[in-house]
Amino acid sequence: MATIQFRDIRKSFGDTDVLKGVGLDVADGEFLSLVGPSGCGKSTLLRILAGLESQTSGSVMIGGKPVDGLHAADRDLAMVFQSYALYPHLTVAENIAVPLTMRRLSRAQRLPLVGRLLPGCKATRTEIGTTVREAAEMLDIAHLLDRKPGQLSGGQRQRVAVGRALVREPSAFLLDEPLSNLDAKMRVHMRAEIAQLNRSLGATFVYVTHDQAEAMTMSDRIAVMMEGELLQVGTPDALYDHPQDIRVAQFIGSPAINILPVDTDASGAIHMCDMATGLRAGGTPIEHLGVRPEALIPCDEDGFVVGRVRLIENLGSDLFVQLDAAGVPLPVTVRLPSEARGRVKLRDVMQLTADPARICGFDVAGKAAPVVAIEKVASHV
Amino acid sequence: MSDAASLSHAVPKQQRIARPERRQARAGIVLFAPAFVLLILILIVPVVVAGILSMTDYTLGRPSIDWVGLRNYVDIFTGSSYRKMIVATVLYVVLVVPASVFLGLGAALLIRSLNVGQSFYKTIYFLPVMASLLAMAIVWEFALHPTLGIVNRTLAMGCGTPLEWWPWFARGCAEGFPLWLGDRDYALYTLAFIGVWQSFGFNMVLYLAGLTSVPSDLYGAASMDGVKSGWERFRLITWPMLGPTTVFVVTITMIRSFQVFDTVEALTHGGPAKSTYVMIYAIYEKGIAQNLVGLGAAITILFLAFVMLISVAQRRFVERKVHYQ
Repeated sequence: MATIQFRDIRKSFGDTDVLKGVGLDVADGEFLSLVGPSGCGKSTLLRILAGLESQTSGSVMIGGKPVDGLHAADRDLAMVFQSYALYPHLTVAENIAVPLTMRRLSRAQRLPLVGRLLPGCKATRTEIGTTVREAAEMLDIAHLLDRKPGQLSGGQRQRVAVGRALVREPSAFLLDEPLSNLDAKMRVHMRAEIAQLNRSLGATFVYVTHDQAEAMTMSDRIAVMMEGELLQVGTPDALYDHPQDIRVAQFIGSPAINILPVDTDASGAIHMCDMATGLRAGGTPIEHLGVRPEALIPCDEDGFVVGRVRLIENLGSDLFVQLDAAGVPLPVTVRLPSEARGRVKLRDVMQLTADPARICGFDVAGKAAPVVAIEKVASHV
Repeated sequence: MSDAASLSHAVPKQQRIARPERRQARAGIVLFAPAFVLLILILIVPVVVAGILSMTDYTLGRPSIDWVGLRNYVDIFTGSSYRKMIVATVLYVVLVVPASVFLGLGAALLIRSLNVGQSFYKTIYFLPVMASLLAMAIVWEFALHPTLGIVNRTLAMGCGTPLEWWPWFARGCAEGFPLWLGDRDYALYTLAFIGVWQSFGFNMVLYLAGLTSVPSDLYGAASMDGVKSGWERFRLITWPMLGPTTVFVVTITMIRSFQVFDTVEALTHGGPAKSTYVMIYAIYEKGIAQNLVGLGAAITILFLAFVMLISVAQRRFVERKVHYQ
């Protein structure tokens, strides 16, 4: 069990900066997801942590000790690869046993044929066999131990890869997009299993994915990366409700957040297409408003988004309605409860408003900025 | 009712137009026939003719042919020069195959580990493969010349140095270094050396291609699993993953070594004392130079049997163990 710290990690390939100074702390036993679009450097960061690549500058600490320059084998980590990286010529049992044979048997004992005659080898091998079987039973792959990886399905290979990682009881698990080669149903299933594994083992998990849904469902905390920078680290709730950057807001959540371009006048009042929104900037001028589809509420008057219905998606439990709204380049999505079925029709004009507490404001640089409601008192006087 | 009507339509239609399976089968036969005929004419018929000729005493230009049954084969297995032929051929193969396969693998691994100069070394090692072996043989003949050659003159420079502690070297200094191609004890080994020199570049290219297909994630996984030394990495991943390549390389090298001819023809003519009298050279000498077509054909059939044996062994026993799917 161990904590992990990244201290200002930089990595360049030639002139390309892949990581531009990443600092991140992972708590002991925590499930942390590194999420971001492909090419954002999240896999590189994981490989630097694993010791498979070296950083250009900065430092990595595991359990409080710097591990820079330490061989991957000596970092007491286990990794599950996107391709699973199983040894195709070894059986499932042999695959899972590799981390144990490499550590528990001496170099001489590992020699083919001769090694088996050395003292202590047989006992250790029996011991390894027992451990492998226990791990396999835990993952429900005990009946596959004699097969070769080529004879297994994607989900089974995935389990073998997990088995090979956990058999050694490492202090932390690194998972590099482990579910991306599985079909949708299997992915949902394995998602739950991996989260369960984190709780039952109590080990630190660092999980890399480009799928925000995986990150949201499994993690204790999520670190969102883009273009080599860490944009925000926080719990799934914090990221969803209070994104610190417009790119985080757009990346997290499905369907995506509605981004509404707005203007802030000299008094701080926020207008959308010259219409007052009833909001004002709490500090820096606001350039965009972000509203989640479920935060938008249909209303009869005073709505700050007005649009015509262009598409209705009926999911049974919910209704997603897309509107073409004036002044918004992309369609605005609103989530309605299933009771609204039949009440909304194509080409209807809808007015929408939202609870100011659930509206995120972003300044010209795309950073979060406070938004407050203008007191309605003035209009009553 | 409409069902019945459509059924009654369908039946006569089926009789007029052949079913698609049948049509496809017919097209298949038409398409594969030319290849099949060529295969028979170019590959099977010559072998059968050679097989028949090997049972006769046919010589080119002589009007009569006599059926001699298996006598040509009996001659091969009882005559002393023929026994020398088998020994020379097998020894050559046994020397060249492991050396050129492992040198090829070693060169490929070393080149892969380089950051710069990969193509430089690839070109250097591949040069002997591309060069005409006959032209290269002349270079070797000069280099190995007993008195003027660079090999023996270089060795002679070592006389009087601590190298003389090596008895072989001391004898060379006292009585002269070997004649190489002119010495029955050295000639075959010298040819084998040239054979290795010539062929390992080819194996290196095959291994380089094989290495590119090893997923790099496997090396990462091995590092995580505790593999630290290069040797362990080679044993756990590289060697097993190169299995299919190795089978192919060994088979190709074996067949090519069985076929060695040009160096023998250019440098030794099968001598001295038939110590380099390899099979293809024997076929050439008997069947073409001496016109003993029947005997030449018998050696050819024997040669084909050897090659066939290697191919079958490759398919039956080895290939199954190196493809892991």
